[in-house]
Amino acid sequence: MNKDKNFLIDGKIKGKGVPLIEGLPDVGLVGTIASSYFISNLQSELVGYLEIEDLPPIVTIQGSKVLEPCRLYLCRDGPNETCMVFSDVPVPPQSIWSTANSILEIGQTINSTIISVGGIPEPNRLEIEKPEIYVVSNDEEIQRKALETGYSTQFENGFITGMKAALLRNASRLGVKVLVALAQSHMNYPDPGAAAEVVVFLNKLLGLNVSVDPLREQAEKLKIQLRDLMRRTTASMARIPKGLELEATPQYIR
Amino acid sequence: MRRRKSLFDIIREIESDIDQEIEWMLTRLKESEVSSRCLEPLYDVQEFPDEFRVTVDLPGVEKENVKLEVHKNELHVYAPCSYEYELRRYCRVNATCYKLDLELPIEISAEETKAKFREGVLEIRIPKKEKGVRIKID
Repeated sequence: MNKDKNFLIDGKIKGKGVPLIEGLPDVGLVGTIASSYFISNLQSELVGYLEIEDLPPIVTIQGSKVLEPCRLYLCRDGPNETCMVFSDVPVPPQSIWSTANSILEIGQTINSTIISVGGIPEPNRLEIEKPEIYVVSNDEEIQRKALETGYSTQFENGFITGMKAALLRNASRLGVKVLVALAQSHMNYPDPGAAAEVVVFLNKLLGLNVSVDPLREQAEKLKIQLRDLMRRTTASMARIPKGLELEATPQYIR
Repeated sequence: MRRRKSLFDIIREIESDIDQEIEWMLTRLKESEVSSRCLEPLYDVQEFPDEFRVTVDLPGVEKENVKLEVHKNELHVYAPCSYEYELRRYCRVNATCYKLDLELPIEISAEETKAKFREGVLEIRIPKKEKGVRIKID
């Protein structure tokens, strides 16, 4: 690993120009569920990892293999390829800026558009059968493409906090295009239903063909398996002003 | 020579203390789940002027099997889970039920409590026993 950088990526993906999807643990674990679903359902290859600052020594053991908790996968679906940033642990609040900068640098290295997916807290989520996806980007062209899928609505007013906010704020400075796509979600419970809508949206946006039915069928089982990660993520989110995402931006008289 | 602590050093120390406290709580919770083989469900409590709204996430549970009891200022939820949850340990321990014992800050009205169960989430509306009085403004 380069001493100045907090990530290591396989040389073969440098300059590849494939989209980079970020789905680190956040509201309702929507991004985590969606990205892990793509990783398991597409032909996926581990192509790098990201070191999260201030994270105590943790390794993930999977099938007797020792892995970094935050990893980068290259996923193939026929001719379409995407990269996924995935983490088994939440990013500590104090490490959000440095982690976002590392993701943006990876985006620069791969020559990617970053698509950051997650949930936006919706107090009436139980009343909503089909969650809406709200999109916002620092690039008009990407925003237009996202809206043309017919599966998203423009995020017009409000606040975004945490990793998504850090990516959007620093993206333009580094010349990286970022699209943030947020599905209406439970805040403190894993929300596979919202993640399924994100999968449908990404399928359409990126020309992928991943069936969403198994995700919907296994939703209850998934919620049980993810409760520990959700509990840790909720504890971590308590130190980010997530309540702001429920508020409207101040309106001033012109 | 010892450097004087800056404000940032103090904030970092507080953050570190909070992290340790959270870690301690999560570890105790996990130990209790492993020993009792019963899971504490994820839950959320919202307080309104006249009532508390509690939601409890109970994936893998059938509505008919949920046992809900309200007593004084306590709420008890028990439900068997139809999935075997593998507690993530190097050795396998399966838990097959949920149990939540919650203490609310003031006395609640058990008779007027209403609950519904949708998509694995139990939503309970519990009126407060002592309700506020509306004051006429002159």
